[in-house]
Amino acid sequence: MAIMPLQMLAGAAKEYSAEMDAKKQRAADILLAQQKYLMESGIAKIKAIRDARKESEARINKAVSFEFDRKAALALEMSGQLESIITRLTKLDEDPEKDISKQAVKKMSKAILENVPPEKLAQAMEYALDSGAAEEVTAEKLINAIFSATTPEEIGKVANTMGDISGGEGLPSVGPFGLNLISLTEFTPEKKAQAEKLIERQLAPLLGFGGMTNEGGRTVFNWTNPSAAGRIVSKALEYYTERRADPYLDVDIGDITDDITNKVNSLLLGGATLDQIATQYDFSTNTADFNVEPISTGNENENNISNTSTKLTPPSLQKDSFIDNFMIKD
Amino acid sequence: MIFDGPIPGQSLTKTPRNAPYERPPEITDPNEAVLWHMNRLSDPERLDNLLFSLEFGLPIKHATQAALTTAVARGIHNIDVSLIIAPVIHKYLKVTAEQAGINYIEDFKNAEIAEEEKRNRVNLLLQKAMKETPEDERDAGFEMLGDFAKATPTMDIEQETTGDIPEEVEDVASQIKEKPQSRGLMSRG
Repeated sequence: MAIMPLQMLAGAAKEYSAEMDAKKQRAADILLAQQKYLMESGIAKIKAIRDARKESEARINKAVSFEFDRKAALALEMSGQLESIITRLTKLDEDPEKDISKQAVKKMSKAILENVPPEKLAQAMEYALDSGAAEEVTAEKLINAIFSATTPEEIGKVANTMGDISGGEGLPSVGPFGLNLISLTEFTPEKKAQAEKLIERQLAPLLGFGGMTNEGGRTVFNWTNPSAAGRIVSKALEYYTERRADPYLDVDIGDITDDITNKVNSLLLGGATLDQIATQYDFSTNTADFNVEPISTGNENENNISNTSTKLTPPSLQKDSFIDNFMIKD
Repeated sequence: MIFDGPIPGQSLTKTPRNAPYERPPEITDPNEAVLWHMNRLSDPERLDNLLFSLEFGLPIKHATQAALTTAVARGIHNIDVSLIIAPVIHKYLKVTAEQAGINYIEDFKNAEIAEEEKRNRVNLLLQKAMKETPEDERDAGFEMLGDFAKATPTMDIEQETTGDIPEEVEDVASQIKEKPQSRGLMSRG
């Protein structure tokens, strides 16, 4: 009676042992196959990861050579924009007719750093510092790590010889910055003169254009109200220069002149005179926020709005204008 | 924000046993569960992505938690089995990373980081590893990282995955510690 349960127990124990041996064998097989894979193709994959990191580091160094702040370069790398900026700057650098404005690069760096959350930047810095350790790891060392070490402790030692085994905590992502790459180029006097001409041409129908004359090979615009027109053009150029240097300019550079024209047109439509625009308007403000103040004529008793300026009718307010057609008439 | 949570009794409006984790688990034997994870994680398609994420800085502790949480969510094994096998999976990932010679960390350096911040970091690292995976290599391993990322909001980020290997899984775990076969380049001659 007592032998039967013992036999059953022995049978169960034998079966358990066989089952456990099979499981151990499966585990061993998995580990062996994994080791084989690491040897055959894993190295190439890991190399690709390292190469990507090295390229990233090289881009950051290149940006620093263009006077970018290292942290700003890192922030750009995080956003995935550094590569295109480096390409652009390299082209500019190679072009003898174009110069990179170091001052603008510094301004851009500052603007970028002001827009990156400090904790993300700290994470990125940690990543950058740690990524250096990975460069020392070679395929040869990797092979040694797989096959020369005989115990986990030894493997650990081998890993230590490769450098600091504590990896980084990853490169955090930040949104694209929407950077204005034109701001990185010098706004030379020649370019400034070109921009001035462009503004004059676009504003000509609004500023009382009185034809052009050639003065010593230079085209000069004549205005019916030269002082007001000259001042508006000068203010517009100032605004253009400021916008062009804005690292975060989110419009095409050509849109700045359109913006200027639209603003002048809108002010004239609102009833402002050229003198009022010239003396009181700042192009960086919205036309809707512009309150026209009467210009003193010297005859305070009449309390009239200035009529010394040339009052022009903007093209959009002339006969058959769009607005006229849509005015509700009693 | 307080209205974001489920209302009392909301769970009763769902079909019972609809979620995989509400049904009996597929594996109840911890040894089988270890083998299931090892088999899955050593698959070349998945191993690449796993190593990739570890190289990117995903701590082994959180990679282990993510793998276990994903398995529980899929109804492979239950949370009790997760607790038993966690040290084995942690060790397995660590030895794999060492064999591959990659730089890895076992846990975030700053232990004082808040739970939510840790969760965000883990998610960020997984997203980054996924983003950096070339289009033509977006295979089962890429999907696995996606599953890990999905598991981050629900995983117990503070759960320890290191410690003594429980008796139940000692035999299979011993294989992970075993000496690699001495047939390498350095053993010649």
